[in-house]
Order: sequence, then structure tokens, then C-alpha cells
Amino acid sequence: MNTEFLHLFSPVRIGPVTLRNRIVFPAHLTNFADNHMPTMRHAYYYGERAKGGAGLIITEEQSIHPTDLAYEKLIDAFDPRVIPGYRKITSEVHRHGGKIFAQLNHNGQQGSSAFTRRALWGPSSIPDPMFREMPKVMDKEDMREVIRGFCLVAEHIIKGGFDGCEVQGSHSSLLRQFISPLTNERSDEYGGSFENRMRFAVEVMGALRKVTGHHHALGIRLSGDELVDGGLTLEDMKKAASYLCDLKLVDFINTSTANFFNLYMVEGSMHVPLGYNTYAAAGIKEVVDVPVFAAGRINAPAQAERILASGQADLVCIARGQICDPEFARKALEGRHAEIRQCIACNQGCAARTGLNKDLGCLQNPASGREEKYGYHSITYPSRKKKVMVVGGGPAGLEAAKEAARRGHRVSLYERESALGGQIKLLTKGPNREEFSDVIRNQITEISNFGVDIQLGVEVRPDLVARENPDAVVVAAGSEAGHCCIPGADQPHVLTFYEVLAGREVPGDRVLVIDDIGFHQATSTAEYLSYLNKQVLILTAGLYAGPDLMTTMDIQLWYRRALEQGIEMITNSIVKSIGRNSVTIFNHYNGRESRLEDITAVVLVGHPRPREELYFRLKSKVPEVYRIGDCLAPRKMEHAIMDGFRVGRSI
Amino acid sequence: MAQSRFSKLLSKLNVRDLELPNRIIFGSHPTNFAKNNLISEQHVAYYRERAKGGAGMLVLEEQLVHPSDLPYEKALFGYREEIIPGYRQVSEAVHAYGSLVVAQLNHSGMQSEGSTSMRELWAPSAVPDVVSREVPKALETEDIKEVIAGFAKAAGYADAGGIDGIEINAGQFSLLRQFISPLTNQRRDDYGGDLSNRLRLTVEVLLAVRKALGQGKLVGLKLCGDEFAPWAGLTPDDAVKIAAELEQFNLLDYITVTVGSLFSLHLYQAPFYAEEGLAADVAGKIRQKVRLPVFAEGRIHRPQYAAGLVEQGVVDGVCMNRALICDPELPAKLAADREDEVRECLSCNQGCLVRRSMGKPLACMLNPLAGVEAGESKLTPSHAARVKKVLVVGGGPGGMEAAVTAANRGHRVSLWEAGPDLGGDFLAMGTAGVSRVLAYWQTELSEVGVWVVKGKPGTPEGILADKPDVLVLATGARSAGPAFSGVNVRQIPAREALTPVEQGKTVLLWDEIGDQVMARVAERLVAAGNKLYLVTPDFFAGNKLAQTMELSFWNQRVMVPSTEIFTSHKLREINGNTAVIENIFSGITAALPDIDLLVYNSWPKPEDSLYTALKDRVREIYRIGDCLAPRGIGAAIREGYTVGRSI
Repeated sequence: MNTEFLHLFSPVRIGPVTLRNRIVFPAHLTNFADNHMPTMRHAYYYGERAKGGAGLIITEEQSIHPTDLAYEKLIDAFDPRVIPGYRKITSEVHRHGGKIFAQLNHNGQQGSSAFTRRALWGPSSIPDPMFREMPKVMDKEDMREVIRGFCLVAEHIIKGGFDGCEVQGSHSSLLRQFISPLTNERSDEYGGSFENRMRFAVEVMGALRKVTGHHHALGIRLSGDELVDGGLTLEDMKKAASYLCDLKLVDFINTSTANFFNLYMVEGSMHVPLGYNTYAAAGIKEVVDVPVFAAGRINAPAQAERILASGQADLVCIARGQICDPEFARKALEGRHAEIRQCIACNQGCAARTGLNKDLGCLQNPASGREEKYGYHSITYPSRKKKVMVVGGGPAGLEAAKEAARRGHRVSLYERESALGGQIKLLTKGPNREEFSDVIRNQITEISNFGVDIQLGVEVRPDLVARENPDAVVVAAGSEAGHCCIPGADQPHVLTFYEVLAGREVPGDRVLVIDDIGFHQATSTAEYLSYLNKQVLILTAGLYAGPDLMTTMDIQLWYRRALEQGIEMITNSIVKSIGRNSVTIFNHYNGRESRLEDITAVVLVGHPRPREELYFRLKSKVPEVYRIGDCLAPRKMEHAIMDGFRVGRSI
Repeated sequence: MAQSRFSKLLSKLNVRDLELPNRIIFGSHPTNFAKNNLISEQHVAYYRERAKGGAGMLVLEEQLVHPSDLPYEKALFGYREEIIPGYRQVSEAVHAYGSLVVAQLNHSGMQSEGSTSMRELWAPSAVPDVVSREVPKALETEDIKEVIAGFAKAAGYADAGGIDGIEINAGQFSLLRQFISPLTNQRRDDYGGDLSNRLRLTVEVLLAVRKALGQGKLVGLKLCGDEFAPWAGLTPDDAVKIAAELEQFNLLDYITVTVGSLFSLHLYQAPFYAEEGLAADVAGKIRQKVRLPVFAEGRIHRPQYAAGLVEQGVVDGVCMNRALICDPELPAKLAADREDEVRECLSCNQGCLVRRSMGKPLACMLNPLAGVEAGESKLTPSHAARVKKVLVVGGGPGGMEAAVTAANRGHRVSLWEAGPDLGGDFLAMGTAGVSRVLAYWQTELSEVGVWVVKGKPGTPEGILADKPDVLVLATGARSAGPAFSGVNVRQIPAREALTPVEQGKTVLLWDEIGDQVMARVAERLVAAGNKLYLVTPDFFAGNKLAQTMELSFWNQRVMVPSTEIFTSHKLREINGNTAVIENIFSGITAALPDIDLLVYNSWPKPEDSLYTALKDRVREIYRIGDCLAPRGIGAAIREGYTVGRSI
């Protein structure tokens, strides 16, 4: 028995279902569906987490009605053809001792009609702030149809072998839209008073109760706090939760916060505190007698244990933590929690990909969502152990070395600097970006099991390779600042963001950051400089600063911090020349030129250049030579790690 | 047939050994119809419909030639042998109507996208795309060989599938153009430097493709005629030289000329702001230099304009892609002297522009069947079993479409419009072509015998007195009430400000939507010489204009010295003639003085009072378009059609 995490690993009853522990892998978008049907990819994905020890898996949302196709890869659960796929998913999870619930949902007005070519349904004529599409106001016949849809899907769920159902009444759901005065302006018995706004949810849950009966668990996920003026508050939701419990309609209550006014609080990034939603679960737990789940940036067993031990919740949802490390639960159970590959909430592989209609992935775990091909069972051990030289100790090189060594190759890793990490060492200098250093810590922890020979402070040149005579060389030499062709960029007060984050003195107190990339490089550097009490201006040719922060849910909070710090933004503009203390720019829509005066320093955030020279000198001189990460093509970190993983797994 | 002004456009054209039945080409464009990255049933039906409508040649959606390229998730894998059966189905479907069908082969190079496949992009040099900002890998020698082999292999599969030829893409989104252009090619090997080096890959690809194809098959080239980046990009003069040089290799059978590149994405499938036939000039210059047939692509929608280009010898043929999405029967209608029945494309791009659309399939705002042709057997209006008396209330696009469709099926249809003219919200669009589309509906309405009553608002009593079997309500939407009450500044909803009466005033436009209504109002206010304050809670103004490619044009129009745009702001209050706005992130406020007029663009509400009043009093009652849920013209037309064919 595990004594360190007593609460976490104690069994718990959810209605008729007993779970082996308190660790939940909650519902989240995967985009693994094919033609709106569940796939083997789902089965392997959920199965891997059950195998890794999770107590309960809750699937991604299952659409209960054809009016809801909020995004292309939503599963049409109202179609009986889902049942065979469901059986594969549930048997894969049950095989590994886990329990599995399906999440049932109608997204209401939080969707798009692009795929259905018919009007969205909502409680009132109010569009969602993100999808911006006006729904049809549901009449009673529509509401009855939705209830029938929920019940039909519950039957499919039961036939598919699930242990229970979770109904989405949280951040993206028709049920919440009815409960919330933000989206419900009805004047009939489904709008107005608390009881009226709850009526539809009560009818849905009541109808479902009859279908699920005594052998399957039934619960609801609620947005514990909409965090919007005029929206539902925690007090409202405590009332809603106890109302549902008093009517004996739920066996459990799962929680989240927010909606699409503030999606960044649904999947909080590393800029949001750990356990930021736990207060919602704790509040609801005060008033209900069924198990309550906490969710939101819970990424370590000790943190989870504390939440349970302090009585804030009965179970913990760990989505991203188990996307990143499917063995989260098992490692904690076996006292190996130091080996957990801890999620950093970068949101680059999970939220950013699924939000753009791509399949779910993970920056740190290239096997995530690709379990069939890359899961733990898939590792092959080469018959001939090769001598492998990996050049470069950034995330790509570490990943390649780790996977090659895991498979038994003799691997040496060379890093020219005195510490591993490559560009991550710079990224973590950005305010609130420190958690990125866990990527390196995680890789080093894993690699230490496999006996890689790590050589720091060694610059690899062709003569060293010749002396070592390896079977394979993996070049992961990274990238560096590219050439900047703006006139005046060669002056001493013009720096690269690499230099700034490395700690170089930035002259004066009014700094212009020129951003060509649009991701965290410029926004972090600007913030960093502003905390050094410099007045900062960010210039971009784009429509707004930091566009790629949108995908990782970082943009709204960055704007808040940036504007509080007085950072100014100059958009739609291109720099014509850099003078000694002024910069001439023009707006590329109207050609109007203007001069920014009293600029004491300029920081360039330009496209990097691959450090590819070593590769070309070795190419055709070594039996096997590979190029990965930025020295192949400078991209985001998940690409570098994926490159390293693929090479490490295939050498 | 008498000599008509379309005779030349509709005349045959010999291209090498093959004959195009006419000069109207349905050029290549993304559709998102693919299933498992292969040609789908919907593809086949889509192309069949255009062949049936009389297009002379169809160029299929691009086929990728190598796994290093996945520009959009639903792109077609031309390098996979499994593509062959799809080619067979399409070519049989198209040949049945006597049209030619050509496969376009492409590698998108650095204009591709690497995060779906999680692979690096391939490009001539490590120059990133302006929009994706993704730095590619410069192709190594063996990569170049692989790309060439990929083109050859894909050409072989197309050939095996019975396709009439191959079009090689060196147009807006192509690796080959990236090699040809100094804007993206900075190589110092045999593939970079002078023009013949930069053309080397294109020539090698053409050679390989020609070798892979059987006798008598066509090889065409899509060529970018102007990159609109004169500091380093290809100019029309360059394009003429390139065409002349390539012709000498005797590998090509035709050239299709298009314009636009990295810095002019807004000219890809150019919206109505762009000039008509924007590639015609440079195509004409090329035609004067080469003996090959030359076609132009880019905003050629008006039959008369298209006919003029061919008649005057500017080009040998015209790509009328969007025109045929909007009306597949356009060529047949011209041939039958039914020009006034052509439903003309407005270049609105609201349905058909699916590049970077997160997988949404192609549709058309005006043509409810575009994108769902495969289900057409179910959709084709059959004659109504029982003739009903149908009353359509509301003469906007949804009402007109419902009336026409129902009358077509034999119903007795009346259409009541409260205003003096038919058109509804369509009238307010004000873009070129709107009046012609309205004329098209008028023609259809009178042809199918719909009894149109103008100046007749629907009232419950009037409707009940009319005793219809079926009532279709298409009463549209109404604007939300004023943004503020009890203030002195005059306030009008944006939909009522589409015809600006103001001149030389200071106008505050408070925009909660970012749509085309806002865009038209803003640009008209600016054009009329008003000082404009545009306030939006979004990160940029004109949120919904990005996907339609309107945004760049619109920005150029509204970003004048007298306009101030406040993004990430909301309108907090009006004091006297001063508006107070507040940054939604920082809470910092600013005062905008001397406001003469406040125009607010807030979400409209459905005008559904008739529905509420009559829903239990008429046997068959339907709501379509904005009075069901205000979503605009495309949804209204689709629903009008659906109701019309189902009653």
C-alpha cells in the first residue's frame, strides 16, 4: 500500500461504481474521431492511461443531437454505429483495471453551423463570443428532442460497455447556457428564476436517470464560476449543485470554471496558478453529499494528495498531466513520482492543436495520441547496438539521446555549453515562463536511467567525429539569430532577443522590440524589459501583437500584464530604418511613415538561422547522419522534440 | 445557332491533340471534400455537375506529390496509388459530358504547413512564409530528386486514372514558383542565381511529368504573372520571359496565368474589391510572346467580360472557377441564349474560400447546392405530388429562393414584400454584381410564375385571410435597440447606416461583431469624408473579413488619417457629445469628443412576431433565414431552397 498518497490511492464509490483510486483522466478534445465515429486511436489513447493506473477515464464529449457539430471531429453519438467503437474503447480500459464514463453533451450556441448547414440551437438569441453565430431560440419541441437525444445516447453508452455518464453542464454546454443569465433571456418557464433556469438541466438529468438506472453512474460537470460580469458565480453554482443532489439526480459532480468569454480559464496555461479551479470544487463540496471532482492545473501527486487530504475535493482531474505522462498514477503509486514527466501547461500540443482542428499531441510526449505507433508496447530493440553521437543538448538532442539509449544504443551527448537545455535556458528567463525548465529536468531524469554519456563544454567538430568513429551522428545543433537587413541594425544599441534574455545590458529606458515571429519570444522579452523599468514598445507587421499566443490561451492574460506594465503596441507596421535614437516606420496598409523618437535600444525578434554547418560537413562522411530540431528548420519546441523522438526510435 | 457575343468563348479550342469543347475552364481550387486524403464521392459529383453544365475543361483540386507537403488536412495525396480509382470516377463522370479533365500537381513548399504532419517544410531557401512565419528547410540535392520523382509518380497515377493531362502548379502556393522567384530562392547551387538556374527545377519537373504521361496527354503550367513584390519578386516582365523560355523546351501545351504571392495573399481568390480579371493583362502580354494557348485566372465572373477577353484575343480561354461554383450551368445557359438566367458570383468568398478554414467544406453563399452535390439525387426538386397554395412573406434572398424553388415544383406561390423592392439585406450589400443577382431572381420569379406583391407587409389577419396551405416566413431580422438611452447623440444601427447620409461629421462606430455590415458602413463613412472613430473589443477591427480576404483591402480603405481605430476597447458611456471608451484588459479609459453620430453594430434579433402569432393557426408553417436565427444571406438562401423543395 502506498503510504505517501493515502487519499489519492484509496478506492472510492461513484454511485454503483467503485474506482481503484481518485485519479481521473477527464474529458477533453482529441480530434481523433474519423467520420464522426470513435476510433482505435481513442481506444489506445484511453487504454494507455488506464494501463498507467488512472482510476477513472471520462471520454471526450459525445454529441447527443445532429444540431451539435461544434467542430469537425465531434463524435455523432446519436448514431448507433458508435457502439462497436465504444466497445473497443471500454474493453481496452477495463482490460487495464480502469473504469470509464462517457461525457454526453450538446454545445448549444457554442458551435458552428459550417458542417451541419442548419441553425445552432440556444436558449435565447445570444451568440457565443468565440463562435459568433446567432442561434435559433429553442422551442419546447426542440428541448424534447434534446432530451430524447441524451437518452438515446445513454442507451448507446450502456450498450458500448461504459460504467457511467457525465453530462456536460460546464464551460461549453447547452445546459449551462440555460442555467446562466448571460445566455438565457427566456420569458417562459425555462428562463427567469433560478428554478426556471435549472428546469432544463433537471429534465435532462431526470430522463437520463431512468435510462442509466442502478447499474451505471450518472453525474454532471458544472462550471463552478463563469468569471464574467452577469454570469454564474460560485454561490449560484453551489445552489445549483445542491439542487441537483436534493433531487437525487447525480452520483457525482465534476467541476471546471469559465466559458468561452474566458476560455483561457478553462485550460489555464503556465501563467495561471496551479490548482486555480480547486476553489470551485471546494465550494460545491461544502453543500453536497456526492463525490466532487476538482480540475485545473493539478499536475503533481503531492498537490493532488493535499487537495484530497484537506477535503477540498474527493477526486482530482488530471488531464494534461496524464497526456504528458500516461504513467502518472502508477509512478506515484510505486513511489517513483520523481520520474513523472510533469506537465508544464504550455498548451502547445494539446489545446493549441485541438483548437486548430488538429489531432491532440503533447510538446513533451511525442507518443501522446499516437499510442498505437509509439506507446510503451511499441519500443523495438535493435539487434545491433550502435555507437551514436548526439551533438547538441537542447530538447531535440536530449530526446534523441534518451530514446536511442532506451533502445540499447551506446549514446554520447555533446553540449558545447556548460549546461544542458539549449534555448530553454533563455526562454525560462521570460516572466512566468520558468516552468519550461521542467522539460529539461524531465528529460534529464528519464535519460539518467539509460546511461547516456553526457559531455558538457565540448564543441563537436568533424575531427572529433572522425576520432570517435560512430555508427550514427545526430546533429541537433539548434539555431541562432538570423541576419537582419533593416538599415541601421548593425549599431551597438540594436540587440537580439537572445542577447537580452541572456542578460546583456540594454541601453537606456525606452526600448523598441521588433517582432517578426508572433509567439512568446517578443512578448516575453517585452515583459522582461518592462520589469526592468524600461518603457517598451512592440512593433509588428501583423494586426495585433502576439497572435500565436491566442492558440495557447496566453494572449488575454498577456495583454492584461503588458498593458498594466505600460507596454505600447504598434501594429500593421514595418521598420524602414533604425537611427541613433529614432526609428522610422511605416504602416503597410496606407504607406504612412512616422518616426519613433527617443528610442534608446532596439531588440530584434527575427527568424532564426539553422546551425547546419556541421551536418553538411559530416553528410556522406559518416554511415548515418541525421539532422533534427532547429538546425533542420527552426520551429517550435514540439517539433524539435518530435524530430528527436522519431530519430531516437528509428536508429 | 446565330452568331452571339459568346460564340468565340463557346468555340472549340485545340490544345495539342485534344479539343476543348469551349474556352470556359473550371480551374483548380481547394474544396475540403477529400475523404482520407483521396478523391471522394462528393468530388466526383461536384466536377460532374460542372461538366454537365458545359465547362470545357476542368482542373481538379491540387494533388500533392510528396509527403513533405500537407498544406491543409484534407489535401489530396496524388503520390498514393490509391488515388487512381478516384481519378477514374472523375474522368468518367466528366468525359460523359464531353469535357476534358486535368489533374493539378503541386508541392506547396514553404507555403505548406508543418504542424499537421509534424514535419519540417521544404523550400528553396530557409525563408519563412509571411503568414505562417514557419521557417522551412532548404532542399538538399536528394530532396530535389525526390520532389521530381514525386511529380512523375503522381503524373503516372493520374494517367492511369484516365485523366486527360497534368497541370503543374507554379502559381500562388507552389514550391516551383518559390524556386523561380528571387523573393524565396537564395540558393547558390545550380538551382539558384540566374533565371535559367531558378527555372531548372520547373523544367526538370516538366520533363519528368511529360515522360511519365502517355501519348496525347496534356501538360499545362499554372504560372504566377506578378508577385506584387517588385523589390525581389516576379514581375509581369519576368513572367513573359519565363513563359517564352519554358515554351522552347517543347514540354508545355498551355499556360494558365494567375497573380499573387507571399505578400499579396488577398489576391488569392480575390474578393470583390479587386479589379475584374486581375491576371488578364499579364496573361495577354504572355500570349503575345508565346504560341501556346494562354488562359487567365482570377475574378473572371461576368460572362460578357469573359467573352470580351477571348473575343479580343487577350487570352485563349478563361478560368471561371467561382462563377461555376455559383452557377454550374453558366456555359450551357450562355449556349442556350439564357444569359439573364445566370446566377452571377459576387466574389464574396463567404462560402468557397476554404483554405485555412479548419476543414470546412466548400459552399457558396448564393448556390445552396454547391458543396453538397453528392446528395443531389435526394435534393433535386421533383414535381410536387399535390399542388399547394404557398405564401412566402418577406422578399429577401431566403424568401425569393423559397418562392422560386416551390413554384418550380408546381406550387401556386405568392411572395409578399413589405418594402417597395425585393432584395432585403441583399440590397444593402452594395457590392458590384448585386443588382445583376437581383435581376436574376426577378427573372426566375416571373419565369416560374410567382405572384409578387410589393409594399405588402404580412399581418396575421392578412395572412389568415389569404388562406395559404403553406406559410413560409422569411421576415428577416431587426436591429437591436440603441446602445445608450437618454443621450443627446443621435444613434442608429449599422444596418440603417449602409447608405451614409453624413458628410464631414465625426462618427463613432461601435462594433460588437466585426462583420461585413460594419465593414461596408465604415468604408462608406470614410469615403463620404467623415471622421471615424471605430471601437471594437476585438484584437483587430474586421474579425470576419480575414477569412474572406477582404481585410487587407478594407484596411487600405479605412486606415486614413481621419480614422482612429480602438481595438480591445468597449464603449462605456456617452456624456454630452463625448464618448468614453475603456480598454477591456487594462480598464484605462479615453474620451472621444465632439461625436455627431453614434452608429452601433450590435447583434440583430430575429423578426419572428408573425411566427409567434400564427404558429398554431396555420397548418404548415416554416421559418427561414434571419427570422429563424439571424445569420445572413447564405443561411437564408439554403433554408429557402430546403423549404421550397420539401413542401
